[in-house]
Amino acid sequence: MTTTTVAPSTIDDAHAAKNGELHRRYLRAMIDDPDGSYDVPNGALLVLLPDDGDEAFAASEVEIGLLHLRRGRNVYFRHVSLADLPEVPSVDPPRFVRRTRYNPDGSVAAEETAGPDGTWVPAERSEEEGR
Amino acid sequence: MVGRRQAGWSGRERTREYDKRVGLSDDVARVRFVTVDRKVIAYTVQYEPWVAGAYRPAARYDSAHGQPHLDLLDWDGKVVEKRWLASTSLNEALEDALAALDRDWPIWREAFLRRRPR
Repeated sequence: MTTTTVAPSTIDDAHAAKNGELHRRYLRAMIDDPDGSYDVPNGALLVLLPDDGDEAFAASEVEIGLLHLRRGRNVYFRHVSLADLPEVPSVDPPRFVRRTRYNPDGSVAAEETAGPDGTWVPAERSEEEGR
Repeated sequence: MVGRRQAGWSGRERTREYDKRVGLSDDVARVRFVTVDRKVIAYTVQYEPWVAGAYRPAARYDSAHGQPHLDLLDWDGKVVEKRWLASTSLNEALEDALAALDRDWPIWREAFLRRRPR
């Protein structure tokens, strides 16, 4: 796989999972937020720094934030108290029920539905679904 | 189309837009959503890998067309494949999109690089 990863060697799957869960909790706080206290400057890259004492996590996140800052991206570092963020349940993978593949000219190449075993089988295309 | 709305308030609608880092990579996701009274009424979560010195849209979870779906994009931003998701509330679909992208970004990144023009 051709994947560009960020320099900090401390980042691993557990770090990525923690960051993902933090962002889902913060998202729910934003949606539930009545007074704007969880607002993020428009378009900024949000970097969350939790109050759990995990210095290695915080240091890596700051380093990554600075990487994006040097690329010209606005970055918003946000300290968060975990006790203030809503819990989110672990989510099941979203299930795809149908797919449409397109030709380079925009015409439909194939319309398929998901079979019970995860394979795709030909299907009729609904008229109301545009591209 | 949520992407065309200005961030901020419009009547009871509130539009927000921010970016988050994705997975282990130095790629980002551009998150935009519109709420009315804590209910999500539209969203996009667009995955933008950093490739050849630029952030490039490669995949987009989207609530347009009345049903949550995933668009896979080519290098010109055109949709090459659309995958429809089972119906759910848009609040749930938006959270699912973030979780799915954190899990699946290597697949979408690899597929996007395979579509790179020669």
